[in-house]
Amino acid sequence: MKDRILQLCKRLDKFTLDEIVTISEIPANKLLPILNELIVENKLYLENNVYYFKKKQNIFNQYPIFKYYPKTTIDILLRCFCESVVTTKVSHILSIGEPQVQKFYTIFRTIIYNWQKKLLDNFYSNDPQNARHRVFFDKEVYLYFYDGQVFISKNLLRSKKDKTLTGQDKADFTTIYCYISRNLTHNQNVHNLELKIAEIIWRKGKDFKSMYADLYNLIN
Amino acid sequence: MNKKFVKTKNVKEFVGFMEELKFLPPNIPKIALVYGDYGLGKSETIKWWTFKNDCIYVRATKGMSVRWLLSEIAEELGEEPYWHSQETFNMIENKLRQNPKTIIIDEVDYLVNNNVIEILRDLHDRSGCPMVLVGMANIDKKLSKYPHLKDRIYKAYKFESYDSQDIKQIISELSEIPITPDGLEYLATRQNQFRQIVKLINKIEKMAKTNEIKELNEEILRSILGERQNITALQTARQIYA
Repeated sequence: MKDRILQLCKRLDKFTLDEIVTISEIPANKLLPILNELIVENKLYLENNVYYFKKKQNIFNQYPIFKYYPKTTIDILLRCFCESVVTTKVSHILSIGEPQVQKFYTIFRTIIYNWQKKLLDNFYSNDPQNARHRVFFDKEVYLYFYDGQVFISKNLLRSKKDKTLTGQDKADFTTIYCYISRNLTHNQNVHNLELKIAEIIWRKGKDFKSMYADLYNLIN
Repeated sequence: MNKKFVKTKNVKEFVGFMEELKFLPPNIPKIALVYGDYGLGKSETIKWWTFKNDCIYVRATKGMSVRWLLSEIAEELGEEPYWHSQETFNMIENKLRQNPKTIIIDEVDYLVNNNVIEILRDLHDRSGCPMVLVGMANIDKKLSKYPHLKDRIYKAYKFESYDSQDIKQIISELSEIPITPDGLEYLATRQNQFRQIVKLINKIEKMAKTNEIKELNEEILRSILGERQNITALQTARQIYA
C-alpha cells in the first residue's frame, strides 16, 4: 500500500490532501499516517498544506560513471573493492580499463569518507572534542574519537567548548591510530590520503559480508 | 466540498476501453489514443486508473528528449537509467517482456513536434505492451504526419464534453449542501468544465455556509450567483426613471 501511495505521490508531484484522497479513494484518516511516514523518510515534504514529492538524489545521479556500466559489473566492482582486489586484476576480470576501476574505487572511498564525516559532524555538534593532529606523508589530518571509533576530517573542526579525551579514550585511540599507521605505510596512499584513512578505519574488524552490505546500502 | 472521485460517463467508458485494450490478442497492435478538450478530467481519470492498476505512467513535458523519456520509463519500472539511451531502451524492453505492463504517456502533444514519439512506437513493437497516448483535442490530427504510428492505433477514445446529466451528477456528488432538482437544472447550464464546476461549487458552498442555508434551490442559487431575478421589474423601473 505504502509503495503504491508513494508512486501516486510521484505521479501527482505536487498535491493537497484533498486531491490525493479523491484520486486514491482512501479515507484521509488512513492516508495521513502513511504520508507522515513518507515525510519522515524524506520522500515527501509539506509546505503550506501542499505535499511535494522529493526526487531521489542517489549516487547514480551524483556519479554518472555508474550509468555507463550494467548492474552486474558494478556489483562485481563492489565485491572486488571489499576484498581489496587490486585495480589491475579487476580491470582484467571485467575487461574494463584500469583508470575506470580506479575511478570506481575512489568513488567508493569518497562515499565511505562522506558517510563517516556525516557521523562525525553529528557527534561533534553534540559533544565537541579536541582534534588529534596527526601527520602522514607530511600531510596533516585531524582525527576524532567517539563511541570507541576513530573519525577523520580533512578540515579542523573547532569550537570553544572542545573537550579533551579521558585516559581510557586516549589509550583506545592510540590502539586504532597504530592500526592506521601500520596500514598506511606504503607511499601509494599519499594520494587521497583522507579517503584512504577513512577506508582503513571502515575496514577495521569487518568481514566481507558486512563490508559488502555496508557499501551496497550506501550506494543504493 | 465532498472529496470524491465522480465516475462520469467519460470515466466509465474509459475504464471499459482500457479493459478492452488489456485483453487484445497478440497479433493486434495495442496503441490507443485518448484525447479531448481541456477541463474534462482526462489527466485526473488517468491518474485514478493508474492507481488502481499496475502500469507505467509518464507525463511528458516540453523539451523532453528520447533519453529523458526513456529515463522516466525506467524509473517507473524501478530501474536506474543508463547513460546511453540504447542500453536504457534494451533494459526497458527486457523488463517489459518479463513483466508486461500498460504504458500510459500523458500530454503526448509535447512529443510530437520533436519526433520523440517514434521511440514509443519502437517500444510498443518490441515489447508488445499496450500503450495509451493521451493528448489534447487535436492530437489525432497532429499524429497524421506519422502514418506508420497512426496505422498501429487500435482505437481512439474521445473525452466528450459533459452533458447536463454529467454536470448534475458532479454537482450533486461533490456539493455538501443539498441542491433541489430545479437548482441542479439551473447549475447545469452555468459551466461544463470540471475545474470551473469545482470553483462554482466552492463559491456556492461558501455563500450558503455564511448565510446558513440548508438547501439550495434555483431562486437562492440565482441570487448567490448575482443574477437578477426579475428582468421585467427592472425594465419597469428603468421606464419609470426614464
